[in-house]
Amino acid sequence: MRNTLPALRQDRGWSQQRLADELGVSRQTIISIERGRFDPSLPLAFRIARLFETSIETVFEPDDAG
Amino acid sequence: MEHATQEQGRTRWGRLRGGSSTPAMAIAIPAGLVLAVLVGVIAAAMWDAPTPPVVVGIGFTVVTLPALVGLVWAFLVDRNTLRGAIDRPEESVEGAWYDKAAQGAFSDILLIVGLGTAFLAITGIRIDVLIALIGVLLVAMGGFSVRYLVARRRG
Repeated sequence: MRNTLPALRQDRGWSQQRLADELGVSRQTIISIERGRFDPSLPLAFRIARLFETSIETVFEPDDAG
Repeated sequence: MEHATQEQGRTRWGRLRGGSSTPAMAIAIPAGLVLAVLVGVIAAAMWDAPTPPVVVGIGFTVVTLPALVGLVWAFLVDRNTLRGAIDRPEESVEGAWYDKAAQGAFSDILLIVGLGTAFLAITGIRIDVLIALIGVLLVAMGGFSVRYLVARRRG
């Protein structure tokens, strides 16, 4: 799943560790999500979207999206 | 900032569950020691070999002490008092790696035990139960460890 998390995070000037702390997950989780290696759970995806005051669709996009 | 506030007061080994201020290790070490001595006494009483019972008892006590202290600590510690502990481990990628590795290790056990049982049934070879259980344990631990490390390397 592609995502815009790196751009959203960098817009705020946050490090991966800072974002991980905000979300209550490990830094490795943020690294894996940003690389597209790990699809977050729905609750975590909602928290990410809420944290950046946007919608899930803005942050995440399925690989097969047309 | 909120996270920094939460980190204050947390310690390397944490405190007891239930809001206690007692360090978890203050209970885990003596409790683990008592359990390890108990294991040593039982082993010394039941050991059927030329080795002196005292040596057997001390040996079992020393070998099981770290594991039993760790086990008691894991049961007693409040993870929210551990320095660096994340709030939602179940949503972290490490949890996904664990689930994947455990799933794979379970498949390994089914395969190895199934093939092993068939082999022993066909050939009529008999092996000691303890050896068989140690084998199953090693397959489970090895399979899990390798799969977890592979998952972690892939990120």
